[in-house]
Amino acid sequence: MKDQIKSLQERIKEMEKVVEVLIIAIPKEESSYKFYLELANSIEHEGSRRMFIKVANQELAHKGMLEMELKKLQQEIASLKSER
Amino acid sequence: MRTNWAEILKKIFPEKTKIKIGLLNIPFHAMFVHFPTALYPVAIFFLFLALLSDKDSFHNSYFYLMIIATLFTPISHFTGIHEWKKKYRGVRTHIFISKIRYGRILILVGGLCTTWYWFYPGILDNTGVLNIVFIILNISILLLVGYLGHLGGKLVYGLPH
Repeated sequence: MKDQIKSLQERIKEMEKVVEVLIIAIPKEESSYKFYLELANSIEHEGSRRMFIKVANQELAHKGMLEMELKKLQQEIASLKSER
Repeated sequence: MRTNWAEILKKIFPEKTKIKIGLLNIPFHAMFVHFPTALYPVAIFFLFLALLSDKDSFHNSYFYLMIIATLFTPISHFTGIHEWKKKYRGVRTHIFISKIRYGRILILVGGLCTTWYWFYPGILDNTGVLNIVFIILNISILLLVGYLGHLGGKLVYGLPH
């Protein structure tokens, strides 16, 4: 029983480390999105502008993926904590 | 639920709040955090110079630098909490819990050292337990500032591999 609780705590700790990485990564994706979008808005050349908008949208998609992962992890941690 | 003041202001005053929204988006923590981070170590450097040479100018430099650093520490702390809630969604992970906890300790220890020296400036001239306690408290400020800076660096420049 003790070993089970210990392994559960270790698992929660590991997951919290991943949450920490995600919570730091999300604002970085957001600032990258803003950076590419501002760059796109400041460029007159149509091809380059389109390319930067595409890259900005990719950053936004990354942010969405990370947010989904974060939500999933937070739910999993909450359920593991209730089990403990 | 997170309160996004910028969005609320935008809804209430659509045109007149551009300046206010701009102000809310200024990275205040990044601006204020460098005052205690830079001034505490320099103040403690002057403390050691004062201990070695006993010149009044070193004592005064220590004291004035400590006052400025102590005033800026709570500002830095609260702007940091604001940024944690806004940028990092107030998620309670090890790094943020440590930053808040040690930030509070820094406010207390920094305030204590400054107040102590304000009312008993002769603490450095005496020798005894209190003198040693005062120096240890000052050295602990250095450690706290170093650790808090390390955690802040992790957030800004990324976690180690």
